[in-house]
Amino acid sequence: MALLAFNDVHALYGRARILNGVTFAVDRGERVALVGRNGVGKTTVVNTLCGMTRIAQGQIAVNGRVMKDLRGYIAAQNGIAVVMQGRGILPSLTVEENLLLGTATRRPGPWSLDKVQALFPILRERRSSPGLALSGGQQQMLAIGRALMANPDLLILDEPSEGLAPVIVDELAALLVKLGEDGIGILLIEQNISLIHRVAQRFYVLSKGAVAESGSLHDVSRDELKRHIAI
Amino acid sequence: MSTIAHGAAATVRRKPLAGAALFVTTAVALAVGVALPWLVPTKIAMSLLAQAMFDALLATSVGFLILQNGRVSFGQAAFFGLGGYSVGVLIARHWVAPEVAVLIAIILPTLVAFLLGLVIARITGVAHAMLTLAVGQAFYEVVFRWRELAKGDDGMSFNLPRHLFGLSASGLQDPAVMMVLAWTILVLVLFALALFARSRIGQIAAAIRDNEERARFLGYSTMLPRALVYAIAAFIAAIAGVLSACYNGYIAPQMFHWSVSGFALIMAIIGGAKFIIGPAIGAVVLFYIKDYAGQFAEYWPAIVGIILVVVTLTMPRGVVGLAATLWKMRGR
Repeated sequence: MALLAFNDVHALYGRARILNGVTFAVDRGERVALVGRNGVGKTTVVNTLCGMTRIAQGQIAVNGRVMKDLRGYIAAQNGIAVVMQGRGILPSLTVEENLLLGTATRRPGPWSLDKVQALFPILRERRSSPGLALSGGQQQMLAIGRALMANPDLLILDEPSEGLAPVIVDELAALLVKLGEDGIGILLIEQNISLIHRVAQRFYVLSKGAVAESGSLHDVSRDELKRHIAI
Repeated sequence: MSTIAHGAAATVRRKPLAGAALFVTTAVALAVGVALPWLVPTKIAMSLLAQAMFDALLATSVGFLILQNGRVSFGQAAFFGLGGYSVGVLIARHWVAPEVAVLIAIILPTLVAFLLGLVIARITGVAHAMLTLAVGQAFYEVVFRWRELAKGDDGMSFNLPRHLFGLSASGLQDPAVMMVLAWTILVLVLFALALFARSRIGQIAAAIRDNEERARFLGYSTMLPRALVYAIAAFIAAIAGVLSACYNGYIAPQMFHWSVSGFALIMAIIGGAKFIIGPAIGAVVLFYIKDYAGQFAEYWPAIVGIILVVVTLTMPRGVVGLAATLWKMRGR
C-alpha cells in the first residue's frame, strides 16, 4: 500500500487548470523525485495535497485511505510533513520555538527536540535566536528539523537546494538518504540534477500538469534526466 | 552536517523582558498603583488618570489584535459598549444580582467575539477592517434606535448597588479608588498578555499571524487560535466598558461608535502596536494631549491627526518602538 498516491488528479487555481491528471505514488521509506521545468505544476502538487487548490477530478490517498477533507492541517495529521519552498521560517519566533511548533500533530515516534538538536547542533546553540537570523543552510536545517518534530511517515521537500552552497547541498543529500534509510518516505521536488541523483531511487517527470515520464534513477544518466526535465 | 552545524554560534536573546524581569516589573507597577493616591495631587487629575486607564485598556485590546492576529479592527468599541450596556442595563433593571451583571457584562462580549472571530478571522486586509466596522456600527444602530433598552440616543443613567462582591460599590465612582482599580487591572492585563505571548497558544497565534499557510502545513487549525485572540481582545475591551460605565453611572450609544474604535487604533499606533505595552502608553499620551489640546483649540482632533501623521512618518514602531531603539543604542 502506497504511503501517498495521486490518482489522476486534476486541480484548479480558480478556473485555471494546473494539474491535468497527475498519477504517482511514494511507498514507505522510498525516496522519490518529482522533477520538471518551472511552471509545470510541481509546487501545485504540494498545494493540492494541502488543500490550497481545488480538485476537479481524481483522488489523493494516504496509507490507502482516500483523503476527502484536504484542509491544510489534515495532511500533517496524516503523517505528511512539508518543507516548503522558501523554508517558511516563522520570523517572530526563536529557533527553538520554530522547532516546537512542529509537534502540532503529537504523533508518536523517534524524533524529539533533543534528537533534532543532536542532528543539527547549531539549532541547539542558537535556540534563542530569531529563526531568520540563521544562514540559508541553517534555515533549511531548521525547516527540516521542524518537519521531523512531527514524526512524519513522509517528508516532502519543495526545492530544498534553492539558494544553498554546493557543499551544503552535499550534506543535505546525505541527510535525506539517511532519513530514507531510517524509514521516512521522501518526496523530493527539485531541479538540481545532482541532488536528485544522489537522493532519489525513482523519479517522475511532470510536464504540462501531468506525469510525462517515470522510472528508476539507476536506469538513467544525469544527461538523460536533464533531457527528461527539458520535455 | 558539519558545515551547517558550525556556523556563527552567537546566541541572541530575542525577548528582553523575560522570566523574572516580567514578574519584577509587574510587581513594581502594582506597587506604583497602590501609591498613586499619594502621587497624583488632585481629584481632577485622579479622574483623568482613571479615564486614561479605560482608554489604555481599550487600546490594549485593539493592539493585541494587531500583535497576535495581525488584524486591524475598526469595531472594538462594540465590545466596549456591550460590556458597558450589559452592566448598566442589568443593574438598572435589577434583572440579575449586580455581581452576576458584572460577570455577564464581561463574558457576553467575549463569547460574541469568539463566535464572530470564527467567521471573520479568515478574512484579511481591507475587507476584514470593513467587516469589523460594520459589526461595530450595527451594535451602535441597535442601541441608538432601541429606546426601550436604554433610552436610545439620550443614553441612560443608572445607580450602582450599595455593594459589589462584598465591597462598597460607591468607591467605583470615587476617582482615587477607580484610578487605583483601573491601573491595577491594566497592569494585570498587560502581565497576562505577556504570559500569553510566551505560552504555546501564543506562539501558535504568532505563527499563524506570520504565515497562516505555513502554520496549517505544520498541522494547526488556524481558525480557533484566531477566534481565541478575538475573544481575549473583546474580554479586555469589555472590562474597559464595564469600568467606564460604572465610573460614570451612565451608558450611551457613543460607547459603540466607530470613532471610539478609531481613537483606540490611533492610540495603539502612536504607542506602538508591536509591543504589548505600546497601546497603553499611546492611550495615556494621547489622552493627555487630547485633554490639553481641548482647552486651547476647538478643533483638537486636527492636532491629534497631525500627531498621528508625525508619529507614523518618524516613528513607525511608535513611542515604545522609539524608546526601545534608543535603549539599544545607549551603549554605542
